[in-house]
Amino acid sequence: MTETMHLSTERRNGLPSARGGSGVEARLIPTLGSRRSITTLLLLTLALGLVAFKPGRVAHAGDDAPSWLRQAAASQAPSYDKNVPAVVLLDEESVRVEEDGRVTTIERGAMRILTREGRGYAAAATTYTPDTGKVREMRAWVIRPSGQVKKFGKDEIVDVAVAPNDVYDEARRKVVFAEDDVEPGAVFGYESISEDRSVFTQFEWLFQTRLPSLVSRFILSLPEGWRAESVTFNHAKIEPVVNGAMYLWELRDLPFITEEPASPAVTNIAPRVAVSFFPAPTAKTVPGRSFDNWTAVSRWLAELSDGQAVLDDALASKARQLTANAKTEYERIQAIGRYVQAVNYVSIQTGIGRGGGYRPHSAIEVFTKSYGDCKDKANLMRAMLKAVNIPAYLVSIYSGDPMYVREEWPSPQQFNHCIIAVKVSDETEVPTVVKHPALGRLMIFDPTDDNTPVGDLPGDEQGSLALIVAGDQGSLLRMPVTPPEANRLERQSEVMLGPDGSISATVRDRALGQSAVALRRVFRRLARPDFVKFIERWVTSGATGANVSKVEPADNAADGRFSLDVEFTAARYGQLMQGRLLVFKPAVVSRREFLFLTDATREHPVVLGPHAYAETVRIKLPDGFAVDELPDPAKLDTPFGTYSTSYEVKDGRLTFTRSLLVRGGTIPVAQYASVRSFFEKIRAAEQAPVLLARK
Amino acid sequence: MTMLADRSDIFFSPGFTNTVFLRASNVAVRVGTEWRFFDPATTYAPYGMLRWQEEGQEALITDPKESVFVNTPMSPPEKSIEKRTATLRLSDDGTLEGEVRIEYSGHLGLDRKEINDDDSPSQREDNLREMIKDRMSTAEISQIKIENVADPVKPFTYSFHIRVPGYAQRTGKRLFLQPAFFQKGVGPLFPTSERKQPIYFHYPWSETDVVTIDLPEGFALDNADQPAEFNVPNVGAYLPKIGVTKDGRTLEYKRSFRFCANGVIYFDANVYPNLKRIFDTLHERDNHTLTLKQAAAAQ
Repeated sequence: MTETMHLSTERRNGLPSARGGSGVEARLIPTLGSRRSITTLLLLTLALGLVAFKPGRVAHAGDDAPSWLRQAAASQAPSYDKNVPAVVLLDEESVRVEEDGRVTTIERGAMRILTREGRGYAAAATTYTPDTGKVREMRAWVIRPSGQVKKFGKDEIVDVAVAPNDVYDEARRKVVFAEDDVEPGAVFGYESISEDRSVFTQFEWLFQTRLPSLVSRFILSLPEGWRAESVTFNHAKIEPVVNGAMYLWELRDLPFITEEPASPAVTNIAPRVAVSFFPAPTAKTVPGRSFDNWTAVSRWLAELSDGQAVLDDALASKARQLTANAKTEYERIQAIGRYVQAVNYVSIQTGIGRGGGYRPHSAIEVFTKSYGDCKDKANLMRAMLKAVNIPAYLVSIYSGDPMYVREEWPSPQQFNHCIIAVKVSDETEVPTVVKHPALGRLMIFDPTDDNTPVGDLPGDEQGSLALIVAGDQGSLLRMPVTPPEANRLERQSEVMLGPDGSISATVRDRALGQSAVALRRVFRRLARPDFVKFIERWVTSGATGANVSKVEPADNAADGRFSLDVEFTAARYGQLMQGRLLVFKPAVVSRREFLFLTDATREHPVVLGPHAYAETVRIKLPDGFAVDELPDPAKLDTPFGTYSTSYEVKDGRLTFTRSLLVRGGTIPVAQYASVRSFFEKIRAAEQAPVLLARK
Repeated sequence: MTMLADRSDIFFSPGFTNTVFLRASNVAVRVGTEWRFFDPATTYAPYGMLRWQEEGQEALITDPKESVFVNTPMSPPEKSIEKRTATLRLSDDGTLEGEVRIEYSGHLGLDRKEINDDDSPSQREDNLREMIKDRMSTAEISQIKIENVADPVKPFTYSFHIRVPGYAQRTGKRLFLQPAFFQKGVGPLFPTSERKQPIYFHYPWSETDVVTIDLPEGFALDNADQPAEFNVPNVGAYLPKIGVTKDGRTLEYKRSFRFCANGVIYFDANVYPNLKRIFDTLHERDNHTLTLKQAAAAQ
């Protein structure tokens, strides 16, 4: 089935956030549409459901705003489109690193609310890990349009778990919400001071989210003689202003980032810098890990994880038992992969402030308890493969956006997920094999995604840069992209059309790769009666009043296939006009009704995922009718995809075919009109009816 | 003083002898032998109507001597009308363009006002765009005017200009047109064959549509007919009417629909097949297609 049957993917990440290297992440929360902010707001909402707020205090004489906030509030912002909900007046993070590795961070933020919808942006959060750090102070203020000030102190600040869905995650967050205290024209500001010890000597600064920003700056103060370097993403090189050992990166007057369908993530649009600092050669202590290149990152991660891929007799025995009947290398990997996929996903995050988020639990422990997070599962699989003499390596990857990881910044902080690379011989031929310059052929697999079998890779990980963790031999590698044909959906439909417009139809879907994953995910999530309802909704969206008599799914996860047979009747699918003309649409199910690219202009590239389908519909025409008019066949051939339809009438049957192939990729704005036209023409082709006339 | 339950929360019975269930307060006025109910606290409640949550409920009329439970009336479909008009023209490439006006009265108006009154003007426009594009994704909407959002009496009203590329499908010599413009792209209300839970409509309502479409030059109706009306006594009725002006250039489509005509808004699951049949029939007839043929070749 096509996109109508896709549901969103549950993401399971066991690594620390890709942002906030010091473990402290405090920013204004106004991150309309960005992945991080959606998660943040959701987590906050969930957490706050358990917290009783005290009523807001009435402002009194002691409530005054600090001068920096007064100054920011006096800023003149340009006029924005009426849909822009708020403007950031100041977004500043100032980090001071001491020689002993202590890090003190002062954050200041100010924003003006522009619309009623913007009120929700009057909020702030500071993340910390109690193990190594603390939030020393946090305050917030609202300056109302009248000039009246309300101050938010410790009574209005709530301390919540960052990841309440984890069984245990020590990371916490202090948050303040002022939504109910602001109105358009009001300015919300906050300040926090936090302390931590850095695991890394690296920081990252995102200059804006979707909101426009007048001033955004990151300040790093180092001990005398230390130095810093930076890499800029999504913007021309941003050079810091350097004053002794103080570095300042700043951008001003950043525009609103419009939300567009199929757009790159905000983190791939908004400017950001990655900053690394280096102690003076004479420094007595090294405050944290620094990385000159990706091999250094591989070496560090291998130090943390290699010792955890251990075997005992029970685990080795289990691996041998699972593979006892396997005839090939691939079957041995499949057997172990399936077993590890079935291990329960449980996330327990401790020691984050000391790099614990990167160290898997011992494979023996995970095997014994039969639960773990992504790195635990990948590490267990690695250990079990070792037991049957198949080398494998952990792979650090960013799940959710294949464009997120950048080669220019060697840092473990770019990753949020862990998968595995299995060394395979030439006898193993699957689309997920990539060639590593030193390690040879590696088959990439994600044991955390229990819907994607060995031989395939989740769509949002395909094409991403990921780190093969292999000590000195480790390196950043582009993950495989399976071809659209490997993810295709093939449909055969047999339709009997009656002279009154009724139909009886049989639809047989055969899905491969990620098309199969989409169906499998729904199938496994829903109870049988609910799955039948799901199919009924799909059928009746194309054939009103359809009576579905058979729904027969078959999930063959082992070889990445999913099949679905459906039978149904619809009393009035075609429309008979004055007993003479009969009109119907030959694409009975999954007819494209909606366009996702409808705006006349576009600001950002279009990101398309690879997919393909092919359908043949054979329609037995009613006796006494002949084809009076057929739509013109379509044939589209573009760099990003192809589409075609055909119609053939023979022996009282109409055979309709349609096939779509979309090559995944990022289409530049200059080609937007072409992409939009491509999908418009597909919609028009699939809406086009056939007209029969009584002989 | 009258105390009522909120039926969006619970179906109250006088057997529930606890004031926790009777949280809403209204005013009951004795007029002759009848009680009339008023809700001075709900800004948008039309005169003579309560919030839908409090209609059709047993209300406790408090009195130090003799309290009494009285049923609040259920407003008939004619009190809550979605009245829609569209004056459109069809191009020979299938694009439909013109002016649209939609008015909501009664409970429909109250709902619209409560949804929109806290939004900024631009958000209200976005709400409308989303509503239209949900069913016609290619629609381009401009010149939006939203009236009476916070008016306690007048109907909530949208008026706007619309352009819908690809509204009608073009083949070689014909155009296929769905005249029910306001139902284009609306999915079936009950898509599944079975139902476990009862069906509960909030209140009776009615819809009246008037759509005129100027036909493209060179095209004429081909074997045009109109969908059949239906009337399910005490439940609902659907009445479509399709005509064409004498010069054959303008199509006139009228549609009326009303539901819960006898005030019954709650249906047991065992009548689901009948209810589904009614709404499937409505959906099918709303999707009725007219064929236009290039005039020279029309029969």
